[in-house]
Amino acid sequence: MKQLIMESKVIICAGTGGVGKTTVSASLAAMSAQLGRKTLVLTIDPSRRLAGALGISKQSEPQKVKLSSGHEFTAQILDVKQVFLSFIRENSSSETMEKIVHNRVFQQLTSRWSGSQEFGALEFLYRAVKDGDYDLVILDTPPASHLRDFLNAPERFYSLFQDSVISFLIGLAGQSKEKVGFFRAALSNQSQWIAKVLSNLTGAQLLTELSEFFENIQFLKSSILNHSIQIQKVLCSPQTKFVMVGIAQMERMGEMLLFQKDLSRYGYALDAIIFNRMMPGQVLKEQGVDQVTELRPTFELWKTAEMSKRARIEREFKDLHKQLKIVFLPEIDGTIDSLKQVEVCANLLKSLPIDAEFGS
Amino acid sequence: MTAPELLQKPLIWITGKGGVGKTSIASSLALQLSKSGRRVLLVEFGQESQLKDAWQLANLDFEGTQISPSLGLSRWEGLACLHDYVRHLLKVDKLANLFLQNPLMKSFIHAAPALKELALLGKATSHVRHIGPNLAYDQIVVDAYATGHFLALLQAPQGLADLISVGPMGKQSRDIMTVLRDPKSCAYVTVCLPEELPVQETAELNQELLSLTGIAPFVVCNRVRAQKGPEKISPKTEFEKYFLSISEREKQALKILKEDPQYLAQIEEVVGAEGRTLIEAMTWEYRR
Repeated sequence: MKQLIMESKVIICAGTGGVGKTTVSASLAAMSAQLGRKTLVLTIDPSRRLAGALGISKQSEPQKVKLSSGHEFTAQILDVKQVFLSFIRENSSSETMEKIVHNRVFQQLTSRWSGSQEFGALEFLYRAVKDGDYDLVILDTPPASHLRDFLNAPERFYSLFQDSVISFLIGLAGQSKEKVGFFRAALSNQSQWIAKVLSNLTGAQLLTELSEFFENIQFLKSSILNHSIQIQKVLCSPQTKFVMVGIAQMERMGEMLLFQKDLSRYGYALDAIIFNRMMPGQVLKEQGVDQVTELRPTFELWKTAEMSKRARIEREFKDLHKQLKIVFLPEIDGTIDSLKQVEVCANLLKSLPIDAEFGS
Repeated sequence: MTAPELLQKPLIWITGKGGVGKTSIASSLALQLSKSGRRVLLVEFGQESQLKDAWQLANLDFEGTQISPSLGLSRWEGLACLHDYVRHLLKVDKLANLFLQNPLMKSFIHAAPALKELALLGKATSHVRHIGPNLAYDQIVVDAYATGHFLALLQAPQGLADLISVGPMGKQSRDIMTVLRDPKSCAYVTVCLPEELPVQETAELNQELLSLTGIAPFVVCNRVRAQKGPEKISPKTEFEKYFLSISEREKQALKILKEDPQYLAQIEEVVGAEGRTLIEAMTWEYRR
């Protein structure tokens, strides 16, 4: 893990919800800080408690997190709206900016567009890397069920800005505007009919606001494309590493394998898989007869389950093992406070032998 | 015996943080309800199916699969529900198809995504509102999204309220909101784990749901592991220490959960079972 940290400029942590991704991201940041690297961790949706422990709030200003060792790293929460606002601000006049900000489509719906949250995260990452203030930037991705949803987000987002789409959306509004009328006239008969039906269904207000919104942001198209390309370059860089965080539950193994497939389809390499909340090694080594009588059946049950999890991991992931680091993280005492948990996790990551279970 | 509180609700939403086991809890609940003589539909939203893995089906789509005469499964995707809705509004199938298959229309749906959310909510509440194609079920159990996504779903009608206040969609949105806020029609169940962080997050989620719907969600605790053991353990071995620390952690979490009057039941972790075996083995220990 130390090698991973020292060799990267960007680490992207992927995984489904509830596996401890945010804690692991923070722990990697802590480890990096302890190795003397200036580190930023970008997180998407941390629980209030973890956010509180790290001293960050939804206000999305970067905050310094101080570890008990005296080292520190910076943490920040992604606010998709803020990312879009900065993006728009940098690329338009203040007059246009005003119109966009007050448009209710922007207020209500931007965060819901397919690919918007992920595009926001990637744009956030891109800025952090471009500004060059940090040795290492760690991105805690939004909990997506498919990594490809994250990786193809710029494409999906950009698809909204195709010329034909823009014309249609602008042409949807009422006949009051001349410019709009021009767009409307350029639509095919079928499209005009659709516009009429939509107008009856949803009322003119939605269409007007949608139309005005797209009229105002259509010029952003080339900037969005440009940023998508730049983001792609960052993702492809050899100094960008992907780390998957998972839990060795039977239901989740399939997902994790899909993740790995998604990544390789895009030509990215998965560098490490961290299996969280495994049974600690020293517990696994014990024998049933050592336990108190009433606990023996439980011990046998848990041990058997753990062994079959590990066997399955070996079976399913062994082929990947050659290029890939696989780490088993034991459960951390849940009663200690969040920041302490992050530190314990960081120390574990530092000290764990890689691939201990797989031998040579 | 299923909780009496849930037996009478036509629409039950199951939510919780990602990874707590919403799908297995929803499946287990739907199975129990179906065994009590009700016709139950277990439905999930979205493009990917978790239910198919939970029930070990080859796939699950909009048409659905009948597990037993009283239990059906289905996966509703926003676009498919929108299709249903548009067909219902335009009355003519051919027109509806023309409308929805138009590529520009697809981009409109992309740009105004709350429409899909409305379509999903519309379909889920249709049997309560007596609107739309007839759903041959007494109860619907929804394996809903995780926290943030679920809250966004419920907020969709409100978010669009200003924009679509007139017209049939405007009325639909208001009717949907009325159902979502009616405790006789809807119950919300948040699934938790016996650990400090999930307990905290569940409390936050319940607060948000209460302010959105006016209904206090029920709470169930999933994956309880170490509450059936000897009364007192003086831990000597590593395993005993491990077991004890888990047991203590769970006890603390459960104590807090039980302070909530809406706390309903705990479900012990089932080890070594998968699919339908797992769902049938899940036992709900109701607080009495």
